Amino acid sequence: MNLMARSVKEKMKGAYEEREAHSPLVEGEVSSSERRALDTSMGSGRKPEAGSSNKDSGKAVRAELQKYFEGKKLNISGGSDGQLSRLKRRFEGTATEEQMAAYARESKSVTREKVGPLPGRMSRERHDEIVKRAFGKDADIIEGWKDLEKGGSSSKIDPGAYARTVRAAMGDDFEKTNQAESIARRFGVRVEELGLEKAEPDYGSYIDSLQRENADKGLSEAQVSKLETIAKQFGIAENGYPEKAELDYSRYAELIRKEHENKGLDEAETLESKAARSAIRREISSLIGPKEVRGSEAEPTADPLPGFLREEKRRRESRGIGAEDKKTPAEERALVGRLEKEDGQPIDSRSGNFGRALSYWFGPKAAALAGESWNKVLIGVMELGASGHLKKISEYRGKLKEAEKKLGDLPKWRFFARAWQRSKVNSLTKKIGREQNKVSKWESRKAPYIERLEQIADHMQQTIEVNLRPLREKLESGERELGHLRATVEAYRKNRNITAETLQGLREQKRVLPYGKRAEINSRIKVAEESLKECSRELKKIEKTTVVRQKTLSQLKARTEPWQSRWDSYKELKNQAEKYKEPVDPEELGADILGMRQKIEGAGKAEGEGRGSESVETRSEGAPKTWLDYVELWNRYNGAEAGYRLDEAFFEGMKVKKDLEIKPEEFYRALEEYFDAQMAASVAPAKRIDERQRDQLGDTLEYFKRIVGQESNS
Amino acid sequence: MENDNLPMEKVDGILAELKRQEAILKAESGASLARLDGLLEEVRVLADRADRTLKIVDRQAEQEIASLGEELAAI
Repeated sequence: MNLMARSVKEKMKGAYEEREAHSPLVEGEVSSSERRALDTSMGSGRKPEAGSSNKDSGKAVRAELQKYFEGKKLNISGGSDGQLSRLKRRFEGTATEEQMAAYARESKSVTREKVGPLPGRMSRERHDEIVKRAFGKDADIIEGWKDLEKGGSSSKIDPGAYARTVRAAMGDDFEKTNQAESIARRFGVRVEELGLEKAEPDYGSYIDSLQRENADKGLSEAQVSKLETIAKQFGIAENGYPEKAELDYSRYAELIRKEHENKGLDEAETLESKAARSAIRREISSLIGPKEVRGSEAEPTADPLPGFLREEKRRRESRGIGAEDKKTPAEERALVGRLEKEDGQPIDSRSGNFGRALSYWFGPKAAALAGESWNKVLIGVMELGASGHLKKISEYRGKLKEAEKKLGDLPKWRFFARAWQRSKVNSLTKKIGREQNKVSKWESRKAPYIERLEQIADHMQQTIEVNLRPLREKLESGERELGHLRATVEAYRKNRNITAETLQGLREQKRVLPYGKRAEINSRIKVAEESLKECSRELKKIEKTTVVRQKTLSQLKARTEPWQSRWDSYKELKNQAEKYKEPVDPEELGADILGMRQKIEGAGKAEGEGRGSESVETRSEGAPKTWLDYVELWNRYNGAEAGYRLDEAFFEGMKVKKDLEIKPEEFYRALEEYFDAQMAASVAPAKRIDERQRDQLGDTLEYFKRIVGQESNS
Repeated sequence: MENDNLPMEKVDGILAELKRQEAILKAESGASLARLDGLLEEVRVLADRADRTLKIVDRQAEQEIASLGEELAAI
């Protein structure tokens, strides 16, 4: 198949070159003279050989063709027997593969549907589908191809026609590439020939291929740049190929700005900007249509076109001219003038659709920024966001950061950081205020609760006391009684000891008495012994009982301890209630005000900014006095800025003593001298400041003066 | 014994006095013990009563305090 296709291609190429010389023939078509010549070379008009009927011939030819095309995915079931016989005759003996394929392609009866995909041919519908899929909503931009096709007699589009279409749509640069056929191939027109499985056009690949080719062929940088611009205008991202052509407002703004500044608006109507505006206009129409309008202040309009365009559209439509037609400079001026008159304020090129885009993104108020410089737009949008939510600001920041990337060095990120920090600080300050309000509210509402807590604690303390008082009194009586009992026991013991001593004395006396008198004392000894025994037994009994009662008394006393502990708890509760009466530290309520204050301070330091934190405590050390104080303060607010940080070199360079007290003016003057010297000196690049930074230093210094003023007042 | 020849009458008097003192102390200790037991019983009764009363009011107070704490936190 490939061999055959290549042969066909060669043949077609020859025909193409010839046709190119005889415009307006469409590439890929065979002229009637060529066809006649081809038929002749293939033996057209010869009669069937004797003995072979048309039917037989048809069968035989079909068999031959089947054999020939076998494995090549060609279906030759179509065609009358006569036609097939002619084919056979032309094939037999003389026809080459190329001739065979060419005939099959040219034969009107052996159609594409029957033979299968033919190289170099594509239906109009198929092509439309490809173009639509490739260009999406922007397919209208290449509407010109339809006009080209109107003059053709064929209902099919061929690669040549397509290439011209693309050239017409894309500009003259494509003429130089002379790659109409390759363009068509890239779009899948001859996809079978290329061996691709799917004829999916890939506009991104297309642009890539063009760029590669252009680079290979040594196209000028401007031409390559133009191609890139075209790609971008069609929504082809640098690193991806989104299905939907995404609108790039920043790019649009840049284009308009450059045109406005460099050429003047009237002369700036290039193909690119027109295409971009057209795409933007449609995009805006879809974005700010009635259902999409945000906020009550957004302009309620059923027609998404701006007023002057709407009017112009009506006017042109009434004259049978499309609304998107190119306007002459005079018309443009007239329209802008009319719009100015309508709105009562000057309108420049940016205040139309760009303003609407800003309005859509950031709310109606942002539309007023459209006529401002890009820096003012960025800061203005940030400030608008600052009055909203942090999350919203974050989104804005992301969008604008992206815009900044696309616009190169136009905006200065420092302003962004400043606006961002200001908004962040303001937001946190408001949050602190809210928390403090919450605390005040709590303070005013907590009083009755505290009072009730105190009442409960009081009541419980009294109740415990009332219940424990008689208990304690009885316990004290018990203690006293126990003491009395112990004293009695002691006296008992003494009595026993005396009895024991008496007994001992009697026994000793007995030993010295004569035997005749001993009987008399023996009876007294016996009485004493009895008495001692009885006394000892009784004493032991009482001692034991006393110990038991002591233990019982201790146990009963211990039962009062838990209630004493509860009494202490209620006393503590009363103390706490007393504390609650005092103003409460918001931290205890979970309001991390200290944390937020630290964040605010951190925010100021993080960016070396601190702008906008005027209403917030930023420092507590007091006013700067010495050189060192001023340098530290400067570094705190500006040290993060490349080249702005002051170090030992500053002291050395300015020949000043760190601890010498100075006036603010002296420091400002020294700063200016120091940075002037830095610009002039050939110091290391990392430390050198450039002209741009020097300009920025102006307002940085102004801001710093305000900070110093605050520090002095604190 | 102050002298070796203590008259028996005196010995009898001493022994009688010791016996008398013993009787007195026995009676006193018995009475004291009885009073102590009475007091201990009273203490036991008072302690039981205080426990019952205080447990009830303490529980009620705890509940009310908890409720107040919640309300305070909800402000």
